[in-house]
Amino acid sequence: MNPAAWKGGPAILWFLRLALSGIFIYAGASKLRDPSAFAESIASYQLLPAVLIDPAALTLPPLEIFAGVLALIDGRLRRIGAFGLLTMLAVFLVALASAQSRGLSIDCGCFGADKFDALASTKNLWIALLRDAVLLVTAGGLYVASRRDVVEPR
Amino acid sequence: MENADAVHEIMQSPRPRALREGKRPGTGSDVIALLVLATGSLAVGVAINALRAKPLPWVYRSRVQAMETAVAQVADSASTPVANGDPAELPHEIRLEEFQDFVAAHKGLVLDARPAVFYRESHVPGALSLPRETFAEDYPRLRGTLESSKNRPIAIYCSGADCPDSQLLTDALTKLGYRHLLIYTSGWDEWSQTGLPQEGASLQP
Repeated sequence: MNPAAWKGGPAILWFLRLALSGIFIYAGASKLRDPSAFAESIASYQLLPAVLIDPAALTLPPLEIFAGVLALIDGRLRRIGAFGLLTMLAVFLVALASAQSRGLSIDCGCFGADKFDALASTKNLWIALLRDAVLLVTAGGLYVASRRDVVEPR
Repeated sequence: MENADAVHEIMQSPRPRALREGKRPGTGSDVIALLVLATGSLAVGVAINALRAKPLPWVYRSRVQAMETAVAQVADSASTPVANGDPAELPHEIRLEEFQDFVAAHKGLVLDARPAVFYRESHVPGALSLPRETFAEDYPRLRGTLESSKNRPIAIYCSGADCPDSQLLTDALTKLGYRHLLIYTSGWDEWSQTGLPQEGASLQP
């Protein structure tokens, strides 16, 4: 079969884009509901000093929503959105791995209060780590695809 | 017709030729764009925070620290003695059957320690909302009711076994001189999943 004749690529990319953006928009929105719980969650990782915890808790939910929305648009905006999702997932992976290696018994806080997270609310960071890794690979693929599309005119 | 063919060819090509031959922006430009996006997100986050009834402070304070401040405020405003060194009765944890009986027989006050938004949606029938996070504002509102039942049992619940709010609220009330405090540990998760009666806005037709 001639690979160039196969037309399923764009459909798969759109499926992955919608899934990843949907997850991020949901995650951002659920964190907006209870900002102090999200700040507590960031604090529980014991990675940031107290002066950075609340600014991070204020920045991340809108950033997740904006990056998720941008990744659904077109051209340069899509590429920036995909890069944002990729970067956040990489940062989250490092944070989760660090917490896991220190043996912290915490909720991942990925979706704000645990009641919005069906999978990783059991203080089992392995599930959150694995989920993050899968999403990271997806975001990487989408970022590479979005780079291919963006070309500035000379 | 040659012209039309050329137009057709351009329409069919995956990308306009000018773009195909153009230069791709580097990863550095993505980093800069993301920093701009993050700064914008911080601005939006700060703006949303300013509109909240209970905004986050600039510098993080843990729930325990915030609760200690709230208890001190509440105690100051009405010269309620803050219990000190007094051997407080340990809060007694209760299970569903005991809590169900407590609610049905109106054995005492039931307090919902979850954020008010969850209480408004649905709560245990007859429970009063005393959210842990707005304790300093809400305790004065309930002061009369609470102090008049200081010698009766008070049962407290939050969202479930993992939430710290019942314990923090119990600690605060203990400092304010309440003695007969019960924590329904499994909380709203168990109550709502067991199909027991509920009250709240989400249940209105």
